[in-house]
Amino acid sequence: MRDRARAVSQLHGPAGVATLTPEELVQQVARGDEAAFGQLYEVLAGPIYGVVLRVLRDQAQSEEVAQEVLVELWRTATRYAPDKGSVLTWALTVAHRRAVDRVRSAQSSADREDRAGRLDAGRPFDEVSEQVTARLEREQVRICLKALTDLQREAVLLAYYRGYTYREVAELLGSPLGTVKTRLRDGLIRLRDCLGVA
Amino acid sequence: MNPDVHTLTGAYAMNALDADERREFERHMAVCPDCERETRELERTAAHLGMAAATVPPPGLRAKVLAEVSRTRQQSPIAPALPRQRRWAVPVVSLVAAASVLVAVVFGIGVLTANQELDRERALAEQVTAIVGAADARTEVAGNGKVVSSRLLGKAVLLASDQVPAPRSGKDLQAWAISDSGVVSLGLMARTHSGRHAPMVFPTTGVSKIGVTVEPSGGSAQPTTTPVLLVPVA
Ligand SMILES: [Zn+2]
Repeated sequence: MRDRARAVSQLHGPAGVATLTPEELVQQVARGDEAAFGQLYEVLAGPIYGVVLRVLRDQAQSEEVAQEVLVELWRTATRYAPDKGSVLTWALTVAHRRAVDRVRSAQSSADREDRAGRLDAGRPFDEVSEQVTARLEREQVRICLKALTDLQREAVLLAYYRGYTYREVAELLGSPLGTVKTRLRDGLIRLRDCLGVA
Repeated sequence: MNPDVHTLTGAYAMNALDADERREFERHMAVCPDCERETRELERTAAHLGMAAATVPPPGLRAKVLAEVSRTRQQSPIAPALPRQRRWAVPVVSLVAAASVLVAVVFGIGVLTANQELDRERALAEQVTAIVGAADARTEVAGNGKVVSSRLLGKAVLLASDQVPAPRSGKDLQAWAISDSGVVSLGLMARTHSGRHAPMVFPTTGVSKIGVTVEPSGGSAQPTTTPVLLVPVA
């Protein structure tokens, strides 16, 4: 993850910023270092905005949520616990959760129904390959997604990229709740093993 | 809580639980190191899905974020103490929530305790979770006592609320299983390391009621006082 963070930062950031790891940057950010946060922005903004946009599918809303997430990371850098995961995992977990919260909140319920309506015709796997700049990551994830069964893959993609609850996923796929719960877990486990996540 | 709560790691890591289930699962993780470990791994895995979606952010975002950051105070590095859990006896608390509160209570954070004691409480919390999560779990409430039982598991758990006073020195609370054939001691009520009445797990076979009495320190062969708790077993 750390190497990829560097790769991504080199993709997005000005040359030479990626001399410190995100973990080292967060340590400085935790001491109130705004310049370090500027560097961290270069590493994190692309992945954060990308995942939020993927879930929300609306640029204006996504920019708003990405801003909230980045400011939240600034605020809470003081309590970042390295043992719970890398900075990228932390940032993406927060970003995905905020995007999902937004999509489930009342104000976007109408939009949500609209999305659900369009979903039947949707082909989530193809959409995964859209709007992607982190090429390495994309290729690896793409290959590993192919190792999943159809049901595992569909469940994982609907839950992660559409922000559906597993109940909604079960409804959409016409599968029993228990099956979807299990597929989300064993699908992610297969993905974990394929990606070599320790 | 579902008996197969352990399978929720994937849904949790992808934020695919609704708010209630999410809190439920977080409480479970606090008592299940396996789920906690697996969840961290699956969160790292899900983060790869996020990375694959990375895209160039709008050009104005950086300036907006940095401006807001410069006027945003950072959190204190010290997390506040967890708010004290409400007692289960509040009527609106559902069965499952009650169990979770219980697990949280049993696990009361912030008090240093011997590992052995913690292990015992952890094992107890797991038993309680299993009973309350059983498909046939039934609850009976009477006064300040509650009994959740599962005939499938052949086990039940007695919960005494904070309203039941701690025994004075020289006294103990003793629990009794009452059946057609008589009254049998279940032993003394333990205290959790956070000073509450520990749940007491007992076999349901033939038991119609559970009673708790105040007895001289060490307990009695048969109850000698009026029960402070008397709860039917469903
Ligand atoms: Zn578990």
